[in-house]
Amino acid sequence: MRLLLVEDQPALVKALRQGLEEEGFAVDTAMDGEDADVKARTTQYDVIVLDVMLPKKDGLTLLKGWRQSGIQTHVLMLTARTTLDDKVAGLDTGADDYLTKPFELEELLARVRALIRRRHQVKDPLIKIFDLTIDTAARRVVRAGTAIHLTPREYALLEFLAFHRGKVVTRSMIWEHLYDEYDENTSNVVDVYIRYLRNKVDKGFEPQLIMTRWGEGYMLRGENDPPDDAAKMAGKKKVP
Amino acid sequence: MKSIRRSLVLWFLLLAIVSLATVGFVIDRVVRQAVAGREKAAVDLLERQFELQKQKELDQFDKELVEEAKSISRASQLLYSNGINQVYEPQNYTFLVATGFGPFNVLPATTTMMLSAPGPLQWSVYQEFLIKRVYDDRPLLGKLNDDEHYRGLFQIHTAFHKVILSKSLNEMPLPEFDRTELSKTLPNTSLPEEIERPDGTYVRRVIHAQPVLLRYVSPPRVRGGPGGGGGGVGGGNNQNSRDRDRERDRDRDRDRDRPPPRSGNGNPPPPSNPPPRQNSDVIRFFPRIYVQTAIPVSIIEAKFRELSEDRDHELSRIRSESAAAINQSRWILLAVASGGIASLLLGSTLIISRGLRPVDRLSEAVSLVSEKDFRLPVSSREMSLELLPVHARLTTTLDALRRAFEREKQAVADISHELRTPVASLAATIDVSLRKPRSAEQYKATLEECREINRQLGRLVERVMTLANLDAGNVPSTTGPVNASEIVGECVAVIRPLAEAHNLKLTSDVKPELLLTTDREKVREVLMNLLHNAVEYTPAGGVIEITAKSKGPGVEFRVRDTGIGMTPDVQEKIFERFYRALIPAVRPLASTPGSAWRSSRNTSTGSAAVWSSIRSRVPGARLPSRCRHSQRSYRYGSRIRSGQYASLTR
Repeated sequence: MRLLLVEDQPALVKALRQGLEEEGFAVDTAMDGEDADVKARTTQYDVIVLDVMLPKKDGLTLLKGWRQSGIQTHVLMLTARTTLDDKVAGLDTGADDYLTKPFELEELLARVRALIRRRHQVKDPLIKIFDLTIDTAARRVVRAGTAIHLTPREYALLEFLAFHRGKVVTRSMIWEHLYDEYDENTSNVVDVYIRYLRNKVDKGFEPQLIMTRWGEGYMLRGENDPPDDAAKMAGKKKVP
Repeated sequence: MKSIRRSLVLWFLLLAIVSLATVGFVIDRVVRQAVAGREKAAVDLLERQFELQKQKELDQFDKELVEEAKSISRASQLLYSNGINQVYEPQNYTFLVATGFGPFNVLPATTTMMLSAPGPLQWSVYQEFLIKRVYDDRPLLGKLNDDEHYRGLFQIHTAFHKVILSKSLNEMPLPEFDRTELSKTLPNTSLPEEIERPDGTYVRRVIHAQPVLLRYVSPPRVRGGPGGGGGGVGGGNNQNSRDRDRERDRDRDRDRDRPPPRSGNGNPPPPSNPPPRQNSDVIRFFPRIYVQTAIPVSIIEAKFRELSEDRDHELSRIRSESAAAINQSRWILLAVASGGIASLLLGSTLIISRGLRPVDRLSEAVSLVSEKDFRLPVSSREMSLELLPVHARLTTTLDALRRAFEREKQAVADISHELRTPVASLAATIDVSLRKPRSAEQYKATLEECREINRQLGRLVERVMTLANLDAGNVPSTTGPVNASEIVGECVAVIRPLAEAHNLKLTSDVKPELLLTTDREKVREVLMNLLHNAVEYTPAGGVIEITAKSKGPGVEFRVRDTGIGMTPDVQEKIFERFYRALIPAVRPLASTPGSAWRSSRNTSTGSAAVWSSIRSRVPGARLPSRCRHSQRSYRYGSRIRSGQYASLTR
C-alpha cells in the first residue's frame, strides 16, 4: 500500500516513514502544502496522512481542494490541534479520520490499515480465500493451518492482490501501490516478487491462488472464479 | 451609598420647600397687608366715628349747656320780666316819661310805660324798682337749685348787678368774661370754651346773654291804628309768655341773621299803620342777664373716656379679628404647603422611579452578561438618549473583552499545539525505534534524534516561559548606550551565510557612529527576527536590505525585502500574540548562534510574540509590520524612532 505522508516536522517525518515502511507501506513524503498537492494529484495513493499546519498551503485548504477535484483517496488528518472545533472542521472538510498529536504509532498504523480496508470495502480484517487466511491486522498469513512467513514486500503484494481478488491488477498498478517515488521502476521487480510469493503461498497448496493473466497482469483468485487449471487450460489449449 | 433616587427626591423636596416657603411668605405678606389695610380702614373709621361721637357728645354737652343757659336765662328773664311787669302795672304809676321821639312822644299816662327808647334813665328807674321790690331771686335760685341730679354749674349775672351762683359752684364763681363782645349782639351765646377755675379744674362754659325785656302787650283793640299800633310794650300775659318766648326766640334767631339793630335802639313804630309785628316788638333792653352754664370738664372727659373705652374695645376687637384672619390664612397656607410637599414627595418619587427605569433596565441587562457570552441582552433601541453612550461603550468594551478572551483561548491552543508537535515527534521516533530490535548504530541515531527534538522542545518551553515572564512583568530591560552600526553588523554577520544559502543578497547601510540608548539584547532579537523572516519569505534571487539612520531624536531601523509580503489583514494580526497566520511558517533555520528567537514554524507568531511582549515592556516600543504597499513604523527605546519593515511587490 502506498501512502502519502504530509508533515513538515522533519523528525516526525523521519520516524513515521521508518515506522510505516517497516510495516510494509510505501511512503511518499511531502514537507509543505504545494508539494503535497502536486503529489496527491499525480499519484493514486491508498491513504494520505495529512498534517493540518503546513507551510505554503495548509492542510484544510489542500483537503478541500482535493475533495472538490474529486480525489477519493482516504485522508487521515494528523495534527496537534485537539479542540472539538478543529476535529469537526477537519472531518467536515472531507477527512476520513482524525488523529491528534501526540499519538501512539500503533494507533496510527491501525487506523491506516482500517482506512485501507475501507477503501477496498472490506470489513473483516481477516481475509479468507479458500484455505488462505490473511490477517491484515497482524500481517500474518496462514494457509491450510500453516503459517507462512513473508517479507514485508511480499506481504504487501499479497495483501494488495487479496484486496483486489477476483480482479486483475496490472503491473503498473502493483508498482504504483507498492513502491514509493524513490524506487526505480524496473519492470522485472514485480515479476520477481510474484515468483517469490508464489513460491511461498501457492507452492504445495491447492488451489493455485495467484494467477497470471497474460498481457494484463496478475490476479488472486476469488471464491467464485473458476479453477486455475481451467484458465490455464484455456490458455494452453491445443488445437486438436 | 449615594442613591440617585434619594438625592433627587431630597433635592426636589428642598426645591419644593423653598418655593412653597417663598410663595407662602409672599402670600402671607399680601394677606397681612390686606388685613392691615382693612384693619387700618376700620380703625380710621372707628377713630373718625370716635371723633364724631366725641364731637357729638361735646356738642350735646354744649347744647345742653346752651339750652341750660337759655332756659335759665329765660327763666330769669321771665322772672325779671314778670317782676318788671308786676312792677309796671299801668295803673300804678303815674310817671310819665317823656321821650324825645317824634309825635309819639306824648303818651297817655295810663299807657304802660313804654320803654321805647331805653336809656339810662329808664334803666335806673327799673333798677330801682326791681332791686328794691321785685327782685327776689330766691325762687329762681330755688327753682334752679333744686335739681339734685344737676351736674352742671351755672352762674347768672343779672341785669341788676347781682350774681347768682348755683349750688354746685360751691361758692366759687366762674371766671369773668368780656361783656363787651357779647353785648354787641342780642341775644348772644358765646362759643363754648374751657376755662380754668381757681381750684385748678377746668370747666366748659357757655355764656348766654339774655336781655331783660318787657313784652309787648298790645292794647286790647288797637291794632295798627294811627296812633296805636306801634311798638306797644305791655306786660305780658304770663301764660303766653312762654310761647311767645319761643316765638321770639325763633324770631331772634332769624334776626340774628339779619344785621342786628343797634342795642338800645328799638324799632320805632312806623308812623303809618304798620301791621303789628307779632314777636318782634322786642324792646331791646340794654341791660342783660348773663347766664354762664358750665360743666366740669371731668364729666366731659369721663364721657370721653367711656367713648374711648368703647373705641378701644372696638379697636381691640378689630385687631384681634384681623390677627385671627391672618392666623387663619397662615394655617391654611401651612396646610396647603404641607399637602403640596407631601404630594410632591410622592409624585417625585414615582416620577423619579419611572425616570430611572432605563437605568434599572441597563443595570439588569449588565447583570445578565455572562462570562460565556459577552453580550448585553438589551438593544440600543430600548435605551434612552442619555444612556446610549453608556450602552455603546459597554457593548464595545464587552466585544473587546470577548475578542481578548478568544485571543487568549486561541493563544493557549496555539501554545499547546506548539508544544505537542515536538512531543509527537519524540514519541514517534522512540516508538519506531522500539518496535523491533535494532542495531546499536540505529539506537544511537535514534537517541541523537531524540536529543535534537528535545532541544527544540526546550527552546519552545523557553519561549513560552519568556512570554509568561514578560506578561508578569518579570523581565527587566537594561538600557545602555548602543552603537547601531555595531548591532546591525552583528546581525548581518549572522544572517549572511543563511541568506547566501537561500541565494539572497544581503546589503546593509548604516552610518558608522550612530548611537542610541536602548536594550541591546532586545534590539538584536528584533532585528534577527526581522532578518530571519526576510530570508524565509523572500524567494531565491531576492534582495534583503537593512538600514539604520537617525530620525529625530531616535534611530530608524529598516529591513526591506522582496518577499511575498502580507495582506493588510495579516499585517494587523501579526501583532497579536501567537497569531497564527495562514502564511506558512518558515522552515527551521540551521542553528543560528545567539538567536534565541529562532524562526520556527511559527516565525510570524514568534516575532509577533516578541513584539507584543517587547511592546509592553520596553519603553516606547511598538511593533513592526510587514506590509505590501505601505510602511509602518515601530518605536523602540528612547533613541529609535521607527523601524520599518516593508516588502516590495514582486
